[in-house]
Amino acid sequence: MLELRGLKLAYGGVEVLHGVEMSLGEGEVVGVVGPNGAGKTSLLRAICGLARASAGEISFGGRPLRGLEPEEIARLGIALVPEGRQIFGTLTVAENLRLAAPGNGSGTMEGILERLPILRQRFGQRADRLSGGEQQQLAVARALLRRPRLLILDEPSLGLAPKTIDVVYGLLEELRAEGTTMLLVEQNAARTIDFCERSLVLAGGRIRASGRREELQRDPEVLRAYMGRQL
Amino acid sequence: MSRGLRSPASAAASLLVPLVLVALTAALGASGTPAFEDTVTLILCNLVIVLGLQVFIGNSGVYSFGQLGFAAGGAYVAALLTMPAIFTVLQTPELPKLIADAQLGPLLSTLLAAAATGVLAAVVGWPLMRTSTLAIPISTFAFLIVVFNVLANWDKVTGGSSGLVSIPTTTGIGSAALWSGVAVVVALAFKRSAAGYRLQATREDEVAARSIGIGLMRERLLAFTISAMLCAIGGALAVHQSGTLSPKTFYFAASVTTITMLVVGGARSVLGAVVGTLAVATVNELLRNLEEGAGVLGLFSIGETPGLAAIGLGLILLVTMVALPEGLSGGREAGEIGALGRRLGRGSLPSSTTAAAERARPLPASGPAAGLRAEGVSLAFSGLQVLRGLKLELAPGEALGLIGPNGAGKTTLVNVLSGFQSPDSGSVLLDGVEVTGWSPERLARAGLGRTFQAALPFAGLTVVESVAVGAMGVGVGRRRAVEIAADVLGRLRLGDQAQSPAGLQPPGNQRLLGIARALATGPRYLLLDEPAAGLNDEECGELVAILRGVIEDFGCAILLIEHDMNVVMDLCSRVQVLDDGETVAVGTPEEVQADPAVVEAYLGSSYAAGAHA
Repeated sequence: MLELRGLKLAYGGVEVLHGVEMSLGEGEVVGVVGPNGAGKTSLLRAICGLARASAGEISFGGRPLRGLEPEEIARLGIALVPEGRQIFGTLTVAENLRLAAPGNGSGTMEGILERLPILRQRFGQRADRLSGGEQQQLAVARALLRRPRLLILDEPSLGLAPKTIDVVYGLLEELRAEGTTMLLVEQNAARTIDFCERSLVLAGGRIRASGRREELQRDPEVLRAYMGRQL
Repeated sequence: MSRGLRSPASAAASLLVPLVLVALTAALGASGTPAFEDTVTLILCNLVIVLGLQVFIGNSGVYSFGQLGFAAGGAYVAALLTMPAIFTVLQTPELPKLIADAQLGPLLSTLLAAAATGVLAAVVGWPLMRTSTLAIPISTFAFLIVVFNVLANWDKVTGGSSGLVSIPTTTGIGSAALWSGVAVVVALAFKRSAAGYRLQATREDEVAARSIGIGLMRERLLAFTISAMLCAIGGALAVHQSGTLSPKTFYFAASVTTITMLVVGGARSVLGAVVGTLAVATVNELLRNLEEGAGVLGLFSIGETPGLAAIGLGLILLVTMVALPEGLSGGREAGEIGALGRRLGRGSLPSSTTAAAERARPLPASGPAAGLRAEGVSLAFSGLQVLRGLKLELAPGEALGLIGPNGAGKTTLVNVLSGFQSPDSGSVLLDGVEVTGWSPERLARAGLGRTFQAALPFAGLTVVESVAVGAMGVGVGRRRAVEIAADVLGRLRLGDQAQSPAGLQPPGNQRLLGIARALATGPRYLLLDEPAAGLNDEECGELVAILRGVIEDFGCAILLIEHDMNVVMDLCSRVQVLDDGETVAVGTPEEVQADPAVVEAYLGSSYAAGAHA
């Protein structure tokens, strides 16, 4: 469904991705782990058109994505929950959610508000008045409401209380059961590997290792070798 | 000249390239016809004004449309001080006799014009710089209009709308080039001074700048004044080149042209001001020749087309803003561009030896350390009660964890403690002093450091600059600030990133930079808002070790908001749990973790199950 071939990305002359190869099948849930500075966020930004790849190919359902604008890529059914909660601060929680799901029936919205009750409590409030963790929940909820074909999550548990992390992962679990394809980046490698069927280790701008859940859990050394901070 | 922040080679290139450009321009002008030489001389006068604009606009990121008002002020003062009495008597009959009779030389009159304008800028800037970032362009624009109206209507002192004639023409291409060189040096020296870095920090992020002790108004006012003085010098030079002056000389058109020059070249860099001035002036002259039907270099001519120069200028501005948002220079100085800049900038950070760290030790703890206390703090946002009579005590050298569900009020409490939010009731005491209602910058200078959930990087600065400016913010000089930054970056293992742009660091490093910046202020109390978010397990371990070192070496107390319970448990001796604006538990990490109320509100049963398994 999503194919990356030789993807390279550079910022101001400094290359941060050196030819990334990966593919995601329909309905697959794949994780990307790696140390800080490995290029994980850059990889997601390149897929979503927020950063311009300097070489290589990205295709989604057979359609090349390179050169498309971020909004065109979003309309193809790719939703990103960005690191750092880019919500619309001057709009209310309700407006943020309605913008994300203009066509959706109230059923979906109800389902999400049921699980993230804090959003219902804050429904009429301006989003920039929410606490950091509440904004993160709003960002996740907004992406879920769009019923994307491919959901890309950059650290969805960032800044969330342990109890709320369980709730968010519960939501993701349900999406998986419905067959949503997901690409997940988390700093918590153990959680990522446990949640995803398959995980890739990205370090120094390259895929260094990959494996299925059982393989990676059986052989943690593969991961440990790459998880230190590599700058 | 700037050991550590920019390597000597890079700094030398950044200074020499614009100076050589100025010299080449002057040489070219001097080799042409007298008319051509006059044109080039005026361009160099303009360059002094554009460099003046760069000092304020480039470093503050705030547009001022009023600086040409100061150029006008400088021009009038210089003109009236140099005109012989026989001319001033006729043109400005009510001018004070002292000025009317004065017939000073070009140098003295230019310096006096700069001084007088500097005083005017400080007085005008005092209220204007207090207005918001968005209001400054408008209020300075209003100032420009006021200046115009005074000059145009105060006939008996300024010559009114018909202006002044018979002004001595003393500005030659040599003196214009010399002053341009001086302006380049001043602009670069300011940019690389502690005051310059503090102002650039406010450009990158106002909130983060305030958290390290930087007051917006003070920094902006200083740059506004220096900028006005350079503009006045440019105005004084120009009027002594043309020999005539009217209120329109430095008004709308000149304002738009000079700002276009700065933006086209790249406002953030001095090189940009020079390149932009030369590029725009060249195109402008060519278009003006076309407009008058004179043709370009005898190659082609399209007959008289009034307005062509203005349209051309507009197009240049438009194309630049779309294609090169940072201008022709990319906002960089000559020593920072491309591969050359990377080579020049390499390896310039002083090594973080123990000796350097010893020298660089942040501000010593002063005064009786009685801790940071909040008592009965309540706060509501539009009807929603966020804090309900909270009490918090952070003892000197202690590590206190602050946990609780999302929306419990943790960040709001930190905002109250650090002065970003005034409580509705209750008080905050810092080492026994009541500090409720103090500004964030005053609290930062009093020893209170903080970080934010968002990294708020100073994206346009390098890593080492963005940390050193933390020390500069609390009044440390530049050289020592660099040593402090080297020490802090060494601790956080970011030393090898020192010369790369802070904005290009990965998210986790940007968070660490926020901590580094706060540490560089030498805090006695450090409030960290989710510092471990975005770090993996190994990095969390490193972070805890670093923070322990901070507590042990500096005697700094830490208040830690964090959801990663491992980090909280490893670092903190005491944990306070908030829920819905109230304290629900305080105790050792073990006690708190076992508290059923905490498990219910915060940890969740699966965590508890995992912890016991």
